[in-house]
Amino acid sequence: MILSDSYFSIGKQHANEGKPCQDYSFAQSNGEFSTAIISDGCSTGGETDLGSRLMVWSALSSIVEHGGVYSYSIKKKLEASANLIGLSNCDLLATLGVIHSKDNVVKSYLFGDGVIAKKNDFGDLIAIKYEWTTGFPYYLQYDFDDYVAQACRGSRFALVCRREQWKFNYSESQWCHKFDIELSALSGIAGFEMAHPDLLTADQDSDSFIAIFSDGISQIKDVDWKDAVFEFMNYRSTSGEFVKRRMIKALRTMTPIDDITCAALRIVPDEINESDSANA
Amino acid sequence: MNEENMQQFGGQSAFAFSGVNIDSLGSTEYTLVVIALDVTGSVTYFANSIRNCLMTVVETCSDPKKSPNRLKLMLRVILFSSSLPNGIEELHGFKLVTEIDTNSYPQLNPGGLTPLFDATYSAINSVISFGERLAASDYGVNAIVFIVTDGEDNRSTMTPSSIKMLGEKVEENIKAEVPGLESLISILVGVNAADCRTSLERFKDEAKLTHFLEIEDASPAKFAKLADFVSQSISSQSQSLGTGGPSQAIALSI
Repeated sequence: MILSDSYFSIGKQHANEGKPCQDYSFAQSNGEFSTAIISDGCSTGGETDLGSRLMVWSALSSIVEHGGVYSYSIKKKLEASANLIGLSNCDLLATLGVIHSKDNVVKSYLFGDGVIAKKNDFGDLIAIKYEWTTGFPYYLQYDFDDYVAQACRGSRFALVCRREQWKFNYSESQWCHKFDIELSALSGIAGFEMAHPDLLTADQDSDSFIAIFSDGISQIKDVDWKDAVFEFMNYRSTSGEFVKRRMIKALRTMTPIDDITCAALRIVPDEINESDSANA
Repeated sequence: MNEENMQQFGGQSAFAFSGVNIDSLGSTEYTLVVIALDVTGSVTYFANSIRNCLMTVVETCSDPKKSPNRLKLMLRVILFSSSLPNGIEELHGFKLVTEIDTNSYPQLNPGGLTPLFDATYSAINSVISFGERLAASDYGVNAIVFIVTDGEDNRSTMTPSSIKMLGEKVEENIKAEVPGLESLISILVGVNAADCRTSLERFKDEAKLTHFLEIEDASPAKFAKLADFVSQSISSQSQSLGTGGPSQAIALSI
């Protein structure tokens, strides 16, 4: 069984400037698939609060239609919906992060920046942060249209992403740096399919969580992003709106500068699910 | 959600209570409501009105058109009289109002003397205790309790002072930001109780209850208005969830 939930909220900066929240997320579990989707609109783009919402729903629509995450399909749906209401390319500059589970395989995808994290039932965490060194993320549209990249940011081939991976060992109660690598569009890495071995739960034999965060997690006053991951995944209850409850509670003692969003899947193995049913 | 989803808290204590299994809840925040009803001998002539009032409150609070926050309301109903074991009978523990079948509420069988203090203690203690459990699981939670009586206490083990201590503990926890209730409102309702108004007001002050509402008579019309008042108060308290404080001042008149 897979449970899903999501959360987004406006950061202090946008609230003070009278701007809308440009982060958005949605999560869904049905009998066929489970998906958790986030999007973070570019703050120097156009109406990217709308762009991020269209991005999420275009992705969901594409997943429903094709049974998986296909960037070209998402882009076409995004552009079609934007054309209907007169939005331009700069309004659609938004990241896209997806965690998708189907047929006992979980994959994660990220176009842009953000953090993907996995927590097992022992409390160990893996957290991977993707950050574009130029400060401008690689957006989905750049995959297909270098003109867009040129118009908005400069050539997509100049964009470089740094990926840093950390592991939290619950028994030792500390984070351990694993490695950093740099990826670039020039080397052929455009949008990422993160079929990362550490994040896959092909056997789904343990209760675990996989969460995806926007880069707002790195912009919480006086809070390191890894500590934020730990708090945001320190679930006290795991039914229903488990992500919202945890984020709301944790953010009460934090000051997020940027908008922040999270979407997560909880994977409950069949034997735990059957045990819960027997005890009910 | 069925009765098998309910858990018992407080062991064999006279102030034990039950509530839904927290792991089965889905929302982010809840308002806990307790309605304590006097079923002593003196309410015999308006027992049906009491029951109808309770049913109206539940039906209003679970109506999608009248109660937008209905999915965030949990209700516990207790009866109190010395004729009951330990003076208190729990009709049902904390459960979502939308899961309550009002047809299951029994006809009341009034009799006995008035353990008013014990009923008030049970009501307040249960929202504090269940609220702490919810808060520990990241749920936002506040509470409102109604104690409906037609007479003063004459058969309790608890005292107004012990009730006052419960309320003070809630205030301390709020100031210290200890996980628990965001706010607690307690309303003592005196029905057809003009001859013990002074005693009830003194109880309200000594126990530091939030409000005392007097209803002049026990007519069906007054109970209908009481149902409106209770429903609106619950709605108001529910809307204040997340604000860190209680609902706006409730108009205490019927």
